[in-house]
Amino acid sequence: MFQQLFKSIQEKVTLTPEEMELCKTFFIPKKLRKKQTLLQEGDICIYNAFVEKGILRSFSMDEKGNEHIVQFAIEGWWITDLSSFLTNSNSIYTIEALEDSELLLLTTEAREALMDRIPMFERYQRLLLQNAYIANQVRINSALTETAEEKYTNLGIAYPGIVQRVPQHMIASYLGLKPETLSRVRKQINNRSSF
Amino acid sequence: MSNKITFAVLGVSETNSIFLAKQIAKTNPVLLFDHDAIVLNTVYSQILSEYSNVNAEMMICPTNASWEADVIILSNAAASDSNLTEKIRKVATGKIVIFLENKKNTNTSGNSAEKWQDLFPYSKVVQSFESADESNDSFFLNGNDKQAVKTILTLLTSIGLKADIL
Repeated sequence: MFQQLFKSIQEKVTLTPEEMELCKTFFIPKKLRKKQTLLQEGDICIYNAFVEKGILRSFSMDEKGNEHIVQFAIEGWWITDLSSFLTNSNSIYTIEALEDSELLLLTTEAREALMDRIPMFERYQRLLLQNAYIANQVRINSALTETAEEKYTNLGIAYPGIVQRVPQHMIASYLGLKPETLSRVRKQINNRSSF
Repeated sequence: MSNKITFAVLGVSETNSIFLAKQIAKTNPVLLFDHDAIVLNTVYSQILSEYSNVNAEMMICPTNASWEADVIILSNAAASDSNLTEKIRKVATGKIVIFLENKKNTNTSGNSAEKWQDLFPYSKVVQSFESADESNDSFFLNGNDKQAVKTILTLLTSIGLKADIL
């Protein structure tokens, strides 16, 4: 149940066996079925969720009912509405399971308590935030400077697991493309690679 | 639309757990489990026939029911089943676990509260006692985690039940 979490932690910091056992007592194990939501837009996000198994997406919806996907999270990743989680404000995102998923949920209180009890966990959290910030910068740069083909290709290189598991219309939404644009891009790439 | 709390009701062969499962199913998703498949099927069918659009489901495994749930309700029989409690302990961490107690038979509520908390050290244990006056729509709640007790009190009263804190 904690395999992916400890793998993720041990990639960044070292915990003692005692700290790992203590760590387990702070997480709420939760199963979500496909299409069930962890968070609804407008609610306060009370969990930071670690994905042990499955895949989730967070998205906002515009006035016309169009979904805009801001993040996918596969095994070993965290997902939350960070602003809502840290400031107790209403969330602007919905978080939904795209497959049957197994999560480990951390409340704000549990997160604080865990960081107090295990200083290495605080370091782990800091490194995660650092990496998330870098990933966001890369994403902004991609949105501003890359062509549709570059966006799709680079996503496939960086996160092949996501491109293979997520429906194409969601990939298009994540990249800020229309589904027909992504379809055309994929066709062009396939045509080139078949020569 | 807010997310609704999902309940697992483990053990549906007793009056109080059946009553609670039926009432909660009117507003929240309920996952039902009982070792007796006939009892389980009967209660499930009753819920479906009595209320339209309920979100109730029969589960074949108490671990999966509890893993999926936000709140776990244990009947007297389920709470006494050490095999069952062992199966759900790991997936109950951080969750509210409600123990349904029969007030008339419970003279040492303090001791049983400690016993349940020892059994689920990382859960928010709430005891729910039946009213002594034979009506099964009144509940008295007790627990160390005041926020958890308040959450259950709010939920029970919101679905039309009478509930108070001991």
